[in-house]
Amino acid sequence: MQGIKAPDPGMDEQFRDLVEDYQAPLLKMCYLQLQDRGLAEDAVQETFIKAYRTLPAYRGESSRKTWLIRIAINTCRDMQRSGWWKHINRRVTPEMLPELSRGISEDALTVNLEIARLPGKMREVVLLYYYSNMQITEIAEALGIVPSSVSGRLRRAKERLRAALKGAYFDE
Amino acid sequence: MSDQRDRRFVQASIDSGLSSLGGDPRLAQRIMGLERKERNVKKKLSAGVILVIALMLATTSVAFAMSNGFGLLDFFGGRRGRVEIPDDAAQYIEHDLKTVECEHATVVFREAVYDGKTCRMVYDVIPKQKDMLLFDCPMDDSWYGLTHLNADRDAMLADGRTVLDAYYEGGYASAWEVDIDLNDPTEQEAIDQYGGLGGVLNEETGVYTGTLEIPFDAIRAERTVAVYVRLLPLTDVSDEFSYDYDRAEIAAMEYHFRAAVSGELSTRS
Repeated sequence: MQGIKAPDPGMDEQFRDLVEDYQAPLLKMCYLQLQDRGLAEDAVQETFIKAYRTLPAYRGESSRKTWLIRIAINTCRDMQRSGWWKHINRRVTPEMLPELSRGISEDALTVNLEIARLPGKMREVVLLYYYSNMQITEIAEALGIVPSSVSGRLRRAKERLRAALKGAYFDE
Repeated sequence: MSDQRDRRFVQASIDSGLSSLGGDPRLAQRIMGLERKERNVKKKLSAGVILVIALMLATTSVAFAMSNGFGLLDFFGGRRGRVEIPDDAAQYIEHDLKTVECEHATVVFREAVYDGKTCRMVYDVIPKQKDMLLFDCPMDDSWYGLTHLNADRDAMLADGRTVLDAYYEGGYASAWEVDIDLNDPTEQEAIDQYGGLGGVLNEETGVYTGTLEIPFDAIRAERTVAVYVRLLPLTDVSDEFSYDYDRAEIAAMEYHFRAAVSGELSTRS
């Protein structure tokens, strides 16, 4: 066994900043993806563990946010690939999202529910585009798909969300 | 303008709606502490691991010749992989394990290795008609990504085609999604935790090569695993890509692993 390396204070500081900046938004994103608080917390923890391990090799080829979100998306996908996930009924009702506050506006409640109800691949791009404020090319990079696929999924998702919100948002 | 408005609306709705999800203020410290304890502790595959697999059916060399040829070392040791492969690992891989016939395809379970904790497998789905498209992803995913083992991102972006584009342009008569289910017949329960590194489609031969990785919680010298490769015919490509579950074809096989000495393939960070 090799000796334990001394901690790198510069890297540790970077990592602390990463967790402080992104833990809460990642947790919300993973919760809408996985629809379970425990799973979402596991996914976020796993994401940051992977990030900590690969931080020394991170060369800034993509932004920190894109890099971290890619790890989180793949972690959620791994969880969703399980046999349990595939066989359960994923029709989302408000009762299935106990963390969702009822003290918000009807439109806000609706958009949270409708995002949770989207098919997984559509939900990913909606969360990355609208919640994480990423551009089409960044999303394509994070998901490993071509930009036209991102645009196509966004377009179809917007149609659903527009209908659910009775045209108040997500104009054509 | 409306895009910015929609973004602000979604961000505010999710942040206020899920305000109870704030996270753990000690998460960074906890992770750094745990990782320092575990860093540089790698469990390598012991040279003494002996892999014995009970073969259930005779294999066919014709099926192997039709395959893509990509094996465990190509997938798990390559750019997709995250496993440190010891130099002598090839000797522990069992080849041409079992072949199962379905109406529209032949499924060859071509390579596998079990080290007492994790099972890794490669299988080929060989279509019986040339105009069958096999895939394992949404049809709006990259065609280049599906057809290349180590997909170069720039090349993928340059190609730009989706699987759906290739389905239309390639003159395919049918499209089938390749899916996997697992079961432990001795415990009579589903195996929930598994993954893989995706698959690769050989555009020329139409053969799809898939991967499977099953990490078990406990180290056990022996295990039985039932693998079901399911082929789902696609019926609708308009929106959510519907499948005809009634016509699904299943290639099933049961696998008994025995590892004389248990070890664990190390993982890259």
